[in-house]
Amino acid sequence: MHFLGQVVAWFTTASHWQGDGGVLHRLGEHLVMSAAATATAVVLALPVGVVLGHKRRGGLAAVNVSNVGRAVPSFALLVFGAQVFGVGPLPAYLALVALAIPPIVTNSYTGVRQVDPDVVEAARGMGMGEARILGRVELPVAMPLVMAGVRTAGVQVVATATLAAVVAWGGLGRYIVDGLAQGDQVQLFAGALLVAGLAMAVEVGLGVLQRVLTPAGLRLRPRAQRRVSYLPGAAAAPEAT
Amino acid sequence: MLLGANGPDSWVWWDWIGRHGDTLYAAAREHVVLTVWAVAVGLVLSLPVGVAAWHWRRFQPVALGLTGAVYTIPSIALFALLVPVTGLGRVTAEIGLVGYTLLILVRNVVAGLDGVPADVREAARGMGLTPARTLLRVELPLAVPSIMAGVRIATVTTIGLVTVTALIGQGGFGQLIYDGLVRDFHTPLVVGTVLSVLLAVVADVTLVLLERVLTPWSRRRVKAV
Amino acid sequence: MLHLTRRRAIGAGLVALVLLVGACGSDSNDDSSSTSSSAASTTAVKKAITVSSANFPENEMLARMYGAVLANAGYPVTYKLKLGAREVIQPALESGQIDFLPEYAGNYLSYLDKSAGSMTVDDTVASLRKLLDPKGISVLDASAATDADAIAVTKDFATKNGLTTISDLAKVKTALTLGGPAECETRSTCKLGLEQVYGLKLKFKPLDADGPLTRAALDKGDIQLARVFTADADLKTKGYVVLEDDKHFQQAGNIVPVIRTDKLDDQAKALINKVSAALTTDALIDLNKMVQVDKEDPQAAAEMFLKSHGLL
Repeated sequence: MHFLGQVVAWFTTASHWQGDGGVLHRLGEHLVMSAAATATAVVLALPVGVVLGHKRRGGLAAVNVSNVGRAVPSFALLVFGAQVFGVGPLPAYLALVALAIPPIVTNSYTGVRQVDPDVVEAARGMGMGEARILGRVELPVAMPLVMAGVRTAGVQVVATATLAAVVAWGGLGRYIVDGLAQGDQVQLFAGALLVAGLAMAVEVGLGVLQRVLTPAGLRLRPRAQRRVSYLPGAAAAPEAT
Repeated sequence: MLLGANGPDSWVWWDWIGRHGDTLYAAAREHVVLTVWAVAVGLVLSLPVGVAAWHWRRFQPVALGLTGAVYTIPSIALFALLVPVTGLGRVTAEIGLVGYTLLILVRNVVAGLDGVPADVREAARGMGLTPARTLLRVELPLAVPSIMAGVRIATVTTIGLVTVTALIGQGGFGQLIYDGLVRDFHTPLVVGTVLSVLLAVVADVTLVLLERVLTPWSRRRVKAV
Repeated sequence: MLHLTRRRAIGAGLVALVLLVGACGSDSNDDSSSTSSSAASTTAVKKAITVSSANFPENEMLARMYGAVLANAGYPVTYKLKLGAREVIQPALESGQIDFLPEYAGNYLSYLDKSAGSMTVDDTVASLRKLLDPKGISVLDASAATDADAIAVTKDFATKNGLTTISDLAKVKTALTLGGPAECETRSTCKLGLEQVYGLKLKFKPLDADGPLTRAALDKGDIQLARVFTADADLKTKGYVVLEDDKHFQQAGNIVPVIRTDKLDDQAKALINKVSAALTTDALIDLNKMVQVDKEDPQAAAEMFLKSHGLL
């Protein structure tokens, strides 16, 4: 209990919240970095996955490339970033973008691909153009899976941003890396609590967003989602970091 | 720095690779050992937990919540927190790695058992099988594809995570990656990364083949491959 | 199903975290100190020795050097290298997870005794022995080879501000940021000392132990001061200026091997001391160049040195 008391004291010390090394600043860094990386990955990866899914061609290759991408250790990505771009936010940002792309490609491809062909044919029969079919029919139907991919990517990015402290970036990971280096268990533990709490909050937050963005009639039945979760290539399971 | 160049400062220094067969082999062995133990122990723990979570619905949120909570802790934090308790050794690395397999495996065990068609279950009952025998002889075998899907994800995830254990003195290929960071040395970084990815791909393919062997009844398409 | 119960699952997750908190808190002060055994050197069986190092190349190379000599004499040697900073390694040494470590006299002492001032090598070693003997850790002979911490700036920055000593930094009007490994921030031989002894007001950026990140940050101007090692081969070739420590806040950088007493016998002691006696600062600088610039394996560099001195 003595240790817990010290952790509580750490959190209630005002100086731990203020300034460049304070929780608020670190939290801000962590969130801005994670949001920027995830948003960039969405902009880059979503169109690729969606268009491939719509064309129903080349997708397997994309999914395979993407799955190999998931196997690249995020630790290695960060070290690559540091060796190519030195210190600063850029290496962490690029590594996190690279990390977030695979689940988004895979899920948006799988999501669009799974749309019932009869529905698409019906839309075509009604005289809808390809772009409209994609935007009005396929994308809304695919939305739960697409968002599941974004959510997976987002949570992964938040967790991996912690590791970026090893290559000299800021964020909440600093408390963990510095605590470890300084033999300061209290700081280390406080940092771990902060990061775990943030990861859970992001998981829940993106879950809410996923529900909001999914048309009411299409919200995934649990059973359907489970089936998806072990389709080869469907990245419904997040990756630990 | 050029890809074509071949020396201490190039991205791939072939001579170095040629001279370090032993290092690479030792790293590969450590990586495989850490991964296999983590997934095996994870599976041994997840099967009963998964079955229990499937059988007693009230236990399900507890099981998934606990394993999910472990899952959200970034690996470096978990390993760092374990060091004062379990020291700087393989045990610390394994505890962390096993922890990360649990959510995936438990979830897939539950999903697999859920996926067993009701009429199959009824038929087993009708044939006079006890619930325990039904579980062992009918339900679990039918859940194998789902469980194996979990094992595949858990394995690939673990192979990536093992690299982080380099920060606590373990690491397999992670040691090469860390050496690359500390010495500003590209070659071990590139080699460690490539081999880690390769290991993940090989492990995944191996598990797909293993699944074929374990589920002979679904081997219809084996000739087509 | 999974989604219906998500909220409850998260609740349970939080409970789990709290449990985890309790579990970790209860034995964070696991002080399994030494088993006081007299070094029974008469036994024919040689004790297994776990050789360890901190996470920078020179230390790893030194660990390999001492380890190679012990292994050559028939001791079963295993390695646990790159374990991080002293703050991580010392607890592992005290609890017996590792047995041997090449240390640096002055920094080691100021880690163990925050109030220790600057003193001669002999006094430092004597103080170390007084502190470590009761913990079952033996401090062997200090080597003449030194690698001390130092503060470096770029040549441009030194010229522009007319800097030759650390005291000169007081003249600099712009904000100063110091870069170094994370543990530097709380060490009296690093940022703390600079502030207390020299009265400087510094910002700090956690990077690495005079590795690529520190160099990159110094070159880029993210930091103005870098914590470096005096035995680094490329300090001069890269055009950095080491500021003179005119108020002597830095400690003696002599290499001093430490080993758990229960693993130490007379033969091991003689072997280790012989290596320390052969090492010089110049040799250390050459070896560092091999490992860090030419990317020679730490082990190969260590063995090369040992062979050329007839120690292997």
